[in-house]
Amino acid sequence: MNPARPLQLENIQGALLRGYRLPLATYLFLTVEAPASARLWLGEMAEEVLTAAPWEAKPDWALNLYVTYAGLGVLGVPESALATFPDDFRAGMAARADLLGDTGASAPEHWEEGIGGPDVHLMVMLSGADRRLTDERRRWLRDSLERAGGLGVLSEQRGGALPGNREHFGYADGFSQPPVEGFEDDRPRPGGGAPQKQGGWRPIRAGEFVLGYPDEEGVSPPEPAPPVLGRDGSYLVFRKLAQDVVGFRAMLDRAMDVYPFSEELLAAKLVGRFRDGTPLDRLPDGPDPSLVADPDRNNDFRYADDPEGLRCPVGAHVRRANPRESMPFQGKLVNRHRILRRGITYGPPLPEGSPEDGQDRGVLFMCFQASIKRQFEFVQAQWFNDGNAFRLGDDKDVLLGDHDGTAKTLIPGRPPTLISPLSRLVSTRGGEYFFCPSIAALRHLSAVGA
Amino acid sequence: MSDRAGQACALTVLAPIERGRQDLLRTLLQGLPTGAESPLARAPGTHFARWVVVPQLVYQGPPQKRDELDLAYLMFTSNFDGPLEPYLDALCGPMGEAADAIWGCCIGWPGLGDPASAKAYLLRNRLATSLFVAGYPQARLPEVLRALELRERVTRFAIGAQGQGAESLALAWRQEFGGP
Repeated sequence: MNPARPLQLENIQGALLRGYRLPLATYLFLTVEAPASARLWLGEMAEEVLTAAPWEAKPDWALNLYVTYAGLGVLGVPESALATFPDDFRAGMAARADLLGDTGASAPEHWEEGIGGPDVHLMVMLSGADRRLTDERRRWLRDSLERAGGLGVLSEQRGGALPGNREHFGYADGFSQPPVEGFEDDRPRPGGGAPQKQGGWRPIRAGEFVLGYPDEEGVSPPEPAPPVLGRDGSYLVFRKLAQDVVGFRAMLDRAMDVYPFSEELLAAKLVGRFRDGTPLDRLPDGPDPSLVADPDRNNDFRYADDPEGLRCPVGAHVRRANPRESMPFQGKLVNRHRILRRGITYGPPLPEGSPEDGQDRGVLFMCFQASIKRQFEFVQAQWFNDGNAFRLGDDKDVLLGDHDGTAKTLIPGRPPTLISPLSRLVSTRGGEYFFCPSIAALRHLSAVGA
Repeated sequence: MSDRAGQACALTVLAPIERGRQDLLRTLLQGLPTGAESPLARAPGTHFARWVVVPQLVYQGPPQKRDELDLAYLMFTSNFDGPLEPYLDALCGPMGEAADAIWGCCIGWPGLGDPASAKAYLLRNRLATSLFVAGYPQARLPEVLRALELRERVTRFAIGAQGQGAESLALAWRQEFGGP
């Protein structure tokens, strides 16, 4: 294995390596109208970007910047350099719709304008600790755009965390993120990172997420040229995913006609964790708040001794997302399909028992990886939107599958239960693939073609 | 060559692509129809088959030695109901136009005007199979398709029959699948 150079934290954007856990986020999707002015603005903003360098105190706001393939071209990156970017990123998310299951109601022709597509060139992510500060920073950002000229705002998305880190279906989220080798205290909590043969866990190699470092294969994956543009960068997937909360609750209600145990257990069997986060692989009978509160225990499981899924179903959402040691070779290949999730919910919560209120709600999903194809797209297409990898035929994830109204899922048990029919519960409203440039790359872009 | 597992057969053909024809070949392969319209549907007994364009060898770091291809290659792999001979006949017969167009991008393809030479071409460019594992080595394609259909029927039945008592379950089973 190549000796790894230390992570260049001052050069790497902060959101890539660190979930800020700030409760508010605003995303501005920009189009470049005059490249020269846009480059000047970019140069200014490069100095405002929060990096991954260690904090003395946690900042109460953060700005990060991402660029699309079309954006790189418009800003003046020459064709010879553009050609060194991978085909998934170059194609953009809409072109990959069939592979991602973005069909029917999720098909790109129904997407909201201004989140993806050839006119979207840049995206600014503004995270904030409270409404007043976030609004103030948003005005500052909008002013800077107006002063600079040459950039138009195509759309704006706003996210806000729900109380208790819940998502709209009611589950606590964010227990499991892979620790990145060489970043801060990278000793994984039990259940984080890669399972070790002799027990214990190790962090995932940085090259799985940041370009220019050895990955799980022991080599640095291909990076775009020139090095100043590619190195310390990453790829970002952004998706606006609308959740049908009424549909989800109705599905649970119908399923209780055939499921012989509690609704609470049914909800856990579909996801792999109870709503409070208690993992089924550890406690298959009921939630335990003290376990959820203990970071050394709330993620400490491997599925290795439950091949039939009697504790946690093989097709449960979190087991699909990260099958851990249930896959061959102690789950070694799983390490090639990890992502760093950085999403936030949007829209108001729907109180339990409320009828459909017509409000838009869901998650602004974001994830970072070194290869969109091998990581995000693989997980979405092979693990969520198919069942073959888990010997589940064409059964799809209950939450993320593009169900056609006839699909089923199996809850192993004595007796086993088949839940059917399933309909689509999560619809894609828009999205795009972005490059997450390093600080040096942002400065390079601000001067390129000038 | 361990190209047999039960009655199942494995075939791998690696043919050099003529210079300048790689893009044409890619477009051709990407445009192939799927399902019943796939040219492979005219090669009876195909369980799984694919064409892959290999533009270059990927260097994966030490201890691998760096090596480069002078030409891009077209790899064809297929798992099918044996024996090999009639399968090659199908590739060079019923698959006709598609086979001609695809391998026509490769150096030395004699064309289907001469089926015997075309078969000899595939055999000449065949790679030895060093390990072949078949999921169901004894089941021929029609049996596999029937089994999948039955599985689907049993699943549908199970979904509809959940929660029924023993007697009504037995009755429903007999109605659907027969038996005493």
